[in-house]
Amino acid sequence: MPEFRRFPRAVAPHILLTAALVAVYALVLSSACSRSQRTDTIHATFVAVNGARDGFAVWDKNHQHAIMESARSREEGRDALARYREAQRPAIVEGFVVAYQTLAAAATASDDPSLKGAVAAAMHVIDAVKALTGGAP
Amino acid sequence: MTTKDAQRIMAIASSWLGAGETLAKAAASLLGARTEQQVVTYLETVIAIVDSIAAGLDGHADVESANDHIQTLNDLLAANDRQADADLDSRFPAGP
Repeated sequence: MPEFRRFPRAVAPHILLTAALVAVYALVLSSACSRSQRTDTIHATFVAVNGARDGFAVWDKNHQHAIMESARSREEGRDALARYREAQRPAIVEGFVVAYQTLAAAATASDDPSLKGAVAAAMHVIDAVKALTGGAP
Repeated sequence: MTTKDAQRIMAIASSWLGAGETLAKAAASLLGARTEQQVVTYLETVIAIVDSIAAGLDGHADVESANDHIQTLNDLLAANDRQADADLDSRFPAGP
């Protein structure tokens, strides 16, 4: 049914908007450079990335289900799933890898560039997921 | 109340405001949901995001264990792949 196939695209923006809001709040509330503010910023950004990751995993599951359901043959389904997994998803996974690694680096450092880099990486992956899922704030 | 306490409260409020917004949108969307699968998907999504936020706010999440979090993502996606492949095989069984 068309409604069902479109459905995952309708869910994703809610997840991602929530995650993005948390990250933006964290950035705005904790833009100064004291140790506690830095810790709070890193933690809030980390929670946002985790939320985006878990939301993306749910979207991925339902997106693959929709691909499977729309296939007219086994071969067509396999090809469509492979295209999604190999052409679209890797960029998102790489974005999460960068976000987590830069957050970990920022947590063990005390300089501004590492903190800004971590927040930027988090926002980048959230934006990338929004672009893939068709979500918009 | 210290500045840190205030920031933490604001961070929690902001997070739950976001979760609340998600829940509100999900509830509104449920009214227009047309299939049982849609309802299940909404609930799965809401539970995932709220669980994730709650775990982070409870301090269970370790920011520095990047590899663990990346592995969690890879595990989730691998499970999704296996499920989709199995569903496809079930829908189009191989011939004799």
